[in-house]
Amino acid sequence: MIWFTWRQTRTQTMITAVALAALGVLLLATISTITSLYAPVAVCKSDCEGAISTFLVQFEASTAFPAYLAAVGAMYLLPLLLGIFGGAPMIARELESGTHRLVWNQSVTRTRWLAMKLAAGAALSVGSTGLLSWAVTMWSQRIDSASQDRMIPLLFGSRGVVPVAYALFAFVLGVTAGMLLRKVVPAIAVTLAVYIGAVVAMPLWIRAHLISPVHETIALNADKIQGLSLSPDTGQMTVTAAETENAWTVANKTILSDGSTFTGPADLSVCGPEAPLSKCQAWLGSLNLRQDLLYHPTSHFWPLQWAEAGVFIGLSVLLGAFCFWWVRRRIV
Amino acid sequence: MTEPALKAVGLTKRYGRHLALSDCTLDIPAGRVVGLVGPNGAGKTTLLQLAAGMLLPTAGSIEVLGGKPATGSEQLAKVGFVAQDTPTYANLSVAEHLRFGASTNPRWDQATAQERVAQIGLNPQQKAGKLSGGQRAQLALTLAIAKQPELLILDEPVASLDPMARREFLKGLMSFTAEHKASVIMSSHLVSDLERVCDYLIVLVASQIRVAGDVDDLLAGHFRLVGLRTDLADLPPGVQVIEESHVERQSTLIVRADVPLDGPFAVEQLSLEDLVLAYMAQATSRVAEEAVR
Amino acid sequence: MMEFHLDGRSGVAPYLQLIQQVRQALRLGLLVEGDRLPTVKEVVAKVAINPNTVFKAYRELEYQGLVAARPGVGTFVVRTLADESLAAHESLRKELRAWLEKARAAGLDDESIEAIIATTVRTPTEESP
Repeated sequence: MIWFTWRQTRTQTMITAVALAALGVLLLATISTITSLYAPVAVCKSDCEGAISTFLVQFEASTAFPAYLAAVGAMYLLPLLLGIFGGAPMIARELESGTHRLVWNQSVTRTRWLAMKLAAGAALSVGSTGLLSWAVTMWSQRIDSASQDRMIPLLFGSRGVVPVAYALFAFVLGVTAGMLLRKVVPAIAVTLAVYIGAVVAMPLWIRAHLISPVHETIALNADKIQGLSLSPDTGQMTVTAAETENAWTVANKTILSDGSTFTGPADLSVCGPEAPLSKCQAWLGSLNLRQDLLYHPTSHFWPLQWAEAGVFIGLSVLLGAFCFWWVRRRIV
Repeated sequence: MTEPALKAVGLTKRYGRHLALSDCTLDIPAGRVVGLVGPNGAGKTTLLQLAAGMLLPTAGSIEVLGGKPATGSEQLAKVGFVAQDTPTYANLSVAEHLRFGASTNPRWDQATAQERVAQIGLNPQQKAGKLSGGQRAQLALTLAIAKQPELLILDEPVASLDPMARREFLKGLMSFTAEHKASVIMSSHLVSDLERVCDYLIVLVASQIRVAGDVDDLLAGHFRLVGLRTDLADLPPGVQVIEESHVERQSTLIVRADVPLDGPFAVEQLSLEDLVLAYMAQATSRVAEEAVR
Repeated sequence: MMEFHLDGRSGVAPYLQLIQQVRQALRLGLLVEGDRLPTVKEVVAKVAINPNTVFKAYRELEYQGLVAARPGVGTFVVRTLADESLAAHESLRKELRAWLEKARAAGLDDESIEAIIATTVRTPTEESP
């Protein structure tokens, strides 16, 4: 059975290995560029902000930058590809071509057969994505520490353990879709749609609430005001203060001392298109405005990573359990 | 060999509202070659898939060699099943199929498998996807035989074969039964084939078993009676009319009789094919009557 | 050693066909005392026939006293049917020829002659079940 499972997943494994090797070569080829660009930052002892921003500017102009973008893309793409080309056809192809009626009549129970398949596919998905995530995380360590932007949704999903959990989920999702739909192409389509839906929904609606964000209410100084908008007819006004640096801001409201959101009305004599900005700022300062912030600081990176990975691993386990139930009770 | 090859009690299978198999009761002794005949859609495949554990019954019970079908690897090892479309892995070679069999079956007989492959004339390096329908059927049978099951279930195994390949297939099958004292249950439309190889017959029509039993007993207990309509109007008890046709004064009956038949009519032996056709015709006319009602 | 075949359209039960073929071979001298009959496995591999049918035929031949099974070795011919009947063949043939001439003189064509022979041969077996 082990040989047979390997024989059936051989092609996918080879293709994955080749793709990983290609990415590995790309990362290895560009690592020296980053090292040399980073050298001034590495030796910098204090007041390094200048050195860091120079590094980032130079990096974005260097040949390593396309590799950086490719790595982010690969971190999202690899789980998806493993799901649609590894997971979806795994059972669907057997059911579509009728070979399940061959393999289920050898001396191996359906449960064991499915367990072997899931184990092989999960190992491939987790192994390859884990390896790539590790390589990319190592490779981009200097860039990440310089730009401090790991909490940005796009980057968050391409670092650490989250991509590994995505890959596991995409694979089991593909298997489940294939088992229910019994046809390869529809299974791929459904896997694609559900996976993209899940990965998009995560940062939009779910991730922020996985662990409680930091809640801060601080006095709004005039110099922190970053945006002002004003409707000259109604006097309605919104004030946007600067977000906390190096963090992922979930909510950023400007509130009055009673806690309600500040919406004006503006004193049009000081805050008008004709009035000088400083007057308006001074008036705003007199209102005792406060900034109500919800955000995840960099320190939340790993707790959030594990929480999100936990969600996807949990979903994968549920889908897997469903597959075992289905294969024993429902499939002909 | 004390456990019956197949034992079913009130076996019923429904697909939604469609009744595929209705209240089947069977007790097939081990060591027999069982022919399962019936028109298309009668429920033959359903019965065989229930026996192989591919399907679960809606009601009733089925036991194969004393165990519930497909429960555990030990039970699976005892039963070989070749589905109607003789599935094989298109991208695996013939040799890889044998390796597959070896890696998934504890009692695998590699020597027999290789011998059979050579006999059929298959190239071990050939991908199964490139084999003809007949060759694929032979490969599927080889896998099922080399597994050394105690019961081999075959769903229309010869349907896709030309007469030559069909004969070769049956020779291989009979050699296997002779050597391993195994039981076989096979469905087929070709009664002439079944007449050669089967010693037990099941006629399944419109989801119900019409007759089942030892072929010799069935042949010895069924007759064609030809005579005057008046003479054949009432027959002694113990004589069951399966099929009747009348023209003017003459009647032709096909009957099942446990008592000696004597009277002013001709008594003829039936061939297996006539017997099968009589039961099929009987069931079809009954179904038609029910439909009218 | 002899070879079996099966006629699917004869209407004769397969095991009876095997018995008839052995008896025929004994009668024609194709099989003589001491000859081994093919094993069940050899027969089924050659003829594609149910092994139980072969067993049954061999048992019946044994019962008729024509063959004997030696466990682990095979089934052997112990008596032949050739001698007694072969001698009678010539005179029987002569009588049949005379009868045929009579039949033709009476206006029967070949078809009618075959029919009369067939029905006559079959009649007694039908009466005794």
